[in-house]
Amino acid sequence: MATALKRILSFKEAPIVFLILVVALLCGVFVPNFLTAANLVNILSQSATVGIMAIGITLVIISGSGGIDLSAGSILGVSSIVMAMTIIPPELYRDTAAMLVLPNDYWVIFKALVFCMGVGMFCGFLNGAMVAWVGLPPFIATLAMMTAARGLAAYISAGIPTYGLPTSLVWVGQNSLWFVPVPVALMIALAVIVHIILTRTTYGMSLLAVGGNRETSRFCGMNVKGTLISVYVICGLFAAVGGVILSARSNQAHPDAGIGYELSAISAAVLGGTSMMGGSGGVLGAVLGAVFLSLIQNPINLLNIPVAYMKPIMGALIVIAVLLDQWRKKQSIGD
Amino acid sequence: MAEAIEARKAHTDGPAVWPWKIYDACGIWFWVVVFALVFSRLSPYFLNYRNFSNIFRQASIFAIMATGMTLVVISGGIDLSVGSVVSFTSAVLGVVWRDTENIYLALAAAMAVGIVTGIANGLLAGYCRMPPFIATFGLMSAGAGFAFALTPSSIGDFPAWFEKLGNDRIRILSHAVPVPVIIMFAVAVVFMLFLDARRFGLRIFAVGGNENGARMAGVNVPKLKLAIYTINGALASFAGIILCSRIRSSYPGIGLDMEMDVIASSVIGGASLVGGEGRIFGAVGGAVFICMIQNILNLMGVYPFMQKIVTGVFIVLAVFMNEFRSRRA
Amino acid sequence: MLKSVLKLCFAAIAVNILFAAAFAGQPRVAVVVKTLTGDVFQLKMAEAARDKAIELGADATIYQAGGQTAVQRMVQIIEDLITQQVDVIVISPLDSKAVVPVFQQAKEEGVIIVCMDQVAEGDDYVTFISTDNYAAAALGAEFAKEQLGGKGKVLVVEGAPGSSVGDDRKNGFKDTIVKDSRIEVVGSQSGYWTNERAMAAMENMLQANPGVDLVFSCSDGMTGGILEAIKLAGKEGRIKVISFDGSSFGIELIKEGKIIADVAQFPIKIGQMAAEIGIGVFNGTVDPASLPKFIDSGTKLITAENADESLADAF
Repeated sequence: MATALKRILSFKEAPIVFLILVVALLCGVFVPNFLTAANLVNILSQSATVGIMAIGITLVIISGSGGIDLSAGSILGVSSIVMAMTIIPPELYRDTAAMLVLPNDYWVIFKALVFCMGVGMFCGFLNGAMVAWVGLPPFIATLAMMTAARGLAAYISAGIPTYGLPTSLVWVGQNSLWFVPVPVALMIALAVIVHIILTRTTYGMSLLAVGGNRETSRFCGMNVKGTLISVYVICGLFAAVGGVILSARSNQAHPDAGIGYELSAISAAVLGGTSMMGGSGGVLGAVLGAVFLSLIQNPINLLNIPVAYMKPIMGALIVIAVLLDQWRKKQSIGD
Repeated sequence: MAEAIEARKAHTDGPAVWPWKIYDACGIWFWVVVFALVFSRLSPYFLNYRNFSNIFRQASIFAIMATGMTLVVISGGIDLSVGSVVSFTSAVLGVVWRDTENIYLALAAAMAVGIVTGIANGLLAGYCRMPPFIATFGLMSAGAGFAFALTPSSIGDFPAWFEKLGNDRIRILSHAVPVPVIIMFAVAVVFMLFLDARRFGLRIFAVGGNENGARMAGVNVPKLKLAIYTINGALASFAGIILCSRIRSSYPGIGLDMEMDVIASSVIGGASLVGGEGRIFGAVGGAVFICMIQNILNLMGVYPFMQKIVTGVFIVLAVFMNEFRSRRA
Repeated sequence: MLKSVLKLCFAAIAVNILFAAAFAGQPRVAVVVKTLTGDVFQLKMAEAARDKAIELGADATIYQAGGQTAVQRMVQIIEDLITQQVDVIVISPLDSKAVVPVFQQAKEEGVIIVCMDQVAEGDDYVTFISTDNYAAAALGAEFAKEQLGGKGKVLVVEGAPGSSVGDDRKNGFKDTIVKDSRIEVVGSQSGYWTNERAMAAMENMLQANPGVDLVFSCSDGMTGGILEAIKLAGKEGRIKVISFDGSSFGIELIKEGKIIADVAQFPIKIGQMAAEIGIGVFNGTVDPASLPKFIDSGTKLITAENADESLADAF
């Protein structure tokens, strides 16, 4: 029994899985309409954007020395605006009148996706350059990017949200493959791919090494700066993908989209067992963390609890999750 | 311990060449002056006593908070909850005042908000060894929510003497200086002396520089962290009270996003987020710097969206200039 | 009646200003709003005020606090505007109390303040121009009652917590719809004035209350998200939607049959009036003492019947 428990506790994801099960069980018993397939699919779909962002942010946190990306939410905003502005003809863009009905021009949509992800990667690259080359603390570099990118999103869109994207793009956000919603499928696929990269490739190993001890990695001849820049670029890319999903799901592009998502994504990463000190962590946990965050929001809406109480509950649960993780580490190390 | 003291001395002393020595001593204030001169060319309304007393009063709230934040950052931590503490303080102050009509009780309750939050942060970060980012993020969410749960709208009609705290001016050398600015400098001086001369200060630097080393040298790290986070929470509440006095009302959303400006002030002022480095007066300068940028953008009537972009660029610039200083030293 | 009085007011002000502009110096006008991003109402109101001011020969600039609760930033902006010695501030205050001290300061300096959309306490402003949100939402509720035949289940998607405008709309709707009817408000959650949050709240409320008949959205800015949520739940056409704002977006939705009604307000009119009154007072052509403290900019219930004609003057 004791060894079985130890085995379970040796997984970083154990506390978050435990928490998800406990909350789901409690809700299943006490909250009417909770345990329905439609509601569970809802929860998963709502978690997809934060989940995908959390994958990128996990890599940044793993890279160590205070690695963090506060700009992910703003990058999401600016890249989804860029996407929408590529698709929507300029004369229609300023017209706030109606829900736009746009043709499924695949070439235009492809171009829009490329621009969108390009902008995300470029912002990420700037973050990485400020951190790796200029030597700014990641918190400050990405804080500045957070402000600037949000301003840019507002500037190029003139502050106007647009409603109505081509149906083939909306499909990505709203439809299901068999019974799994596309955003969820995408989140899982990306998580698995990044998980394999992180655990099975030399790139992943060097990232963990750089995060664990930057000096030693440098002496061992690793390209520390290149690795650092690459994680911020990936993080920017995933924020852009999150932007595509969010816009597609809500069928709109909004200059304020994704405000505050970076903090949700960071907590999702930490809930999933990634250490803020860098050098250890996993993306599967981050995705579970994101699911957990939308899981606890759901019953609050179902029970019609005033929103003001939602944040304290979330805060408390986050603290509990991390305390559990602390306890897990003590247990699995301390024999 | 001795090692930490040496390291700190070496850092504050910097290189021996005298122009650099002065530059190092000035820190961000050097750039505040340079940018003030540049900005005075950009707007005719910028360089006068009145505008600067405005900028300093705007900065005073952030500077008082940044003083506490600098202690936290020097110790190698971070506190995201200060903005929510200001919101929650404001809400508590208003509600207790409305319900009891006793301003002293209201002030005590408001201060208690920051102290209790600080203690909670300190316990989690110090005794439970949680990463401060997450511990304080949890309390940030909680505080912001509680504030709106307590009262969704603003409350006013405070006693006149309380409203003077944030609005009055005191005549010093024939200039009317706003009270919050005097308070800001008083707080900064107290904590600067504290940090420079007291064993407590040295310990904070030691913990931030090398936590394990400090522990070996006999510093009670959890207790120290508890003290630092409590001070920080109390200062945040104090700043919140002054802000309420300034706007003569309490508002549950007032502290929104403040933590980011406060942390940026600290770092612009020379604090290193890795720990072990930081200056109280630098943090004050950082707050003034940020408010000065916002001020000139407003005076020039720059379109709001562009303001955000420019602010981001200036934050990077300011921190870069400081990095340049510390790297050369 | 109200309308004709308003029009008269309007015309008188306009003539006065044209007459006076030739003599007075160029006034400097600052337009301050809560946020310009994603809030088309505030954006159009601000732009209308600015354009009107420029048209009247003033020098006008727009400022935003940058968030629905960024009170501290708004206070800072007003302080900076006083230093700049602007002549007129046309403002949509974030909070009725927090801006009072800076308003007093501004008044002492001789700055003319005109409030739009949300009121401030004290009497430091010249006048306050807005929709009567409570009454307007009640108008929507009466129509909802009619449509539901006096019984049914209703959801409300609120604005951001702490917004008095949002609270007025929410309360106006809730109070009116339960009066003398067997209608029940089964859920009321905040959509934070944004589509994405409104969509999530709506999805979850629909899970809890599958048999809902009608939804009241406190802003057109959230209605798109609400409709997506209804579509995803497969209840399109079975749930009636009433929205608030009367933007051209909302009216198009009525024409497409996606929502049954929209309670209109007129931000462009509010902005233009505010700028005209502010400049008028500056030029001495409008006597501030003669102005009412509150000017109702009017409201209108838009349904399928009058959608086409309403589109012309919608924002």
